[in-house]
Amino acid sequence: MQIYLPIAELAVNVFLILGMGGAVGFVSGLFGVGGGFLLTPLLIFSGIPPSVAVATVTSQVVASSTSGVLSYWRKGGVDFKLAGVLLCGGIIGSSLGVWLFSILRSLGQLDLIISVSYMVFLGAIGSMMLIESARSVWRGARGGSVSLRQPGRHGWIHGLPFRVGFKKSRLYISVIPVVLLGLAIGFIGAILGIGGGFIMVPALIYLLRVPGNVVIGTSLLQILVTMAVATMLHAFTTGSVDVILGLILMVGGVLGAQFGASAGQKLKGEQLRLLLALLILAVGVRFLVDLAIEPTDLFSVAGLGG
Amino acid sequence: MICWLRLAALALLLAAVPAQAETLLVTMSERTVDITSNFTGSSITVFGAVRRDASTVPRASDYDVVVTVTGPRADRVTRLKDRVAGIWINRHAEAFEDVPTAYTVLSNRPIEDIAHPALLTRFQIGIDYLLASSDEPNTASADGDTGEAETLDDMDTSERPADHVFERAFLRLQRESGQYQEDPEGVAVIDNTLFRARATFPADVPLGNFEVRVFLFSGGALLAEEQVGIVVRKTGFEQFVFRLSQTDPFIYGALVILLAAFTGWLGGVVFRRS
Repeated sequence: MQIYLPIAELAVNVFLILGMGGAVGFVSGLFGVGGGFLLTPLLIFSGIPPSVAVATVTSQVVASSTSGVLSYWRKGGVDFKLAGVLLCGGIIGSSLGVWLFSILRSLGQLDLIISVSYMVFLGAIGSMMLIESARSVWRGARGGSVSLRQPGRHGWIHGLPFRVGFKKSRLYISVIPVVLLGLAIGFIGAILGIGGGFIMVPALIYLLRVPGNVVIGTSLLQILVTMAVATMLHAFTTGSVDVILGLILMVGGVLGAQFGASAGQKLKGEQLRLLLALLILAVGVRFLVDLAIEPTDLFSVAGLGG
Repeated sequence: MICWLRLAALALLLAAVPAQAETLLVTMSERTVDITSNFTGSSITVFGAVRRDASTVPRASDYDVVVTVTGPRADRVTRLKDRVAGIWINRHAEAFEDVPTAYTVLSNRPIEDIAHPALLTRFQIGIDYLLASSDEPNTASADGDTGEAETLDDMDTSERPADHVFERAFLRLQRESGQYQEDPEGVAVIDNTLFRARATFPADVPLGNFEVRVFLFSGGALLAEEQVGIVVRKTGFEQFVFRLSQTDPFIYGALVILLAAFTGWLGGVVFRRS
């Protein structure tokens, strides 16, 4: 069944898009990530203009993170103060990102930046996760337990000024790294159409030492608000948020996430991380291949505005 | 001033069309292409007749009919990728200003057999002749004082440099995407007087005012031309959504966010209870 997208100005197959939303929702429920990093490339590979894909996925991330935030909130797993400080940076970051996005679009290098950024971020994060999870799977298999924590290694973060207490996270740290982290993720998110949960969660755990029970809920709340702001900014500057495409993705994503979440409970944490790392790397490699191999058509046509 | 110019142009036009020339009657199955949520492309049929009267001169050869459908004009840029530091990036570009975003040419036989390329270029008939004349001013309306229909003798052969790589790539990509179409058998001429042509519009047809032009040729000479406008537009919900996103981006963005939050909340509620 074909449906016409009023902003993308082309017709797509509803079931294809619903299926993509569902598959990515499944993955996001399975691993507890937003899944934007998979959804945006899938949409681009299936012929949706990159600008529409990126802008619309930001709205889909709002929907998927709303479900998550609500359920973590009920369990008391959201640190509102920490999320608020992250957001201050996040909103600045996504404004910068959307601004750069519209400049790149007019320069004709948007596709390149999206591809290179995906390759770099996914490659880096995927490799790090792969090494970390492979180690813990290996340790788990041997039955031993070596602590990953190396006291004093992150001492510089705790030595910064403007220290603030975050009661729920049992932290007393400087706001500077928190704001910068929010800014970086907001910036990346606006350019790539991803929530950045797969970067935020490890950063909160390893850099800021946020306890595990509030990490995901807090990260999701920050993503929810940052992506809502990014949606609004995209609506203003590029006008490429497609509500119909967004709605189909949201419905697919919410459905898929439920099945993913129940499947996720049957797997061990480190196995999940290993799988996620492989998935992230695979998408990164796909971008690398596309960039490195000579395209079948060297020419492309676009409007002057994108 | 403009009024006088118009009168002068009309006078020229009247002088240019001899009493014996054929006239074209053109009508269409539809004057609008409405885009709704289930739009997957559409088509319109152009019907017409060649009208002759007792004083019309007899023609040595049969009539040829060419129908062009030209979409709204816009600026386009063609980019060429090149390898830089191991990766392929858009390196070179050439802008094409004010080119049709969609273009269809239908004829009863290959247009090169119907008329000389110079004439095709002059009237922008045929995909390969579309960009050539946009470089130079169209002088067609100025020299219509020969009293006869347009012939090849009084025109220079327009020169089209062969090294127009961007132009060729642009036209090829437009063909591949279906925005530029040509069908040398797209016009059916019946009994040398009636004709019918079907123009199709792909699902990603650009929106706006389209111009349908019908040309009547015989023996390589242009005898008559007729124009009709059609509109491709979004209707109903699609139009509402698009207009809202353009005129009130704040309300549009807010609605999208609310919709997203509601969908997420609803999903959570539905699945928590089940």
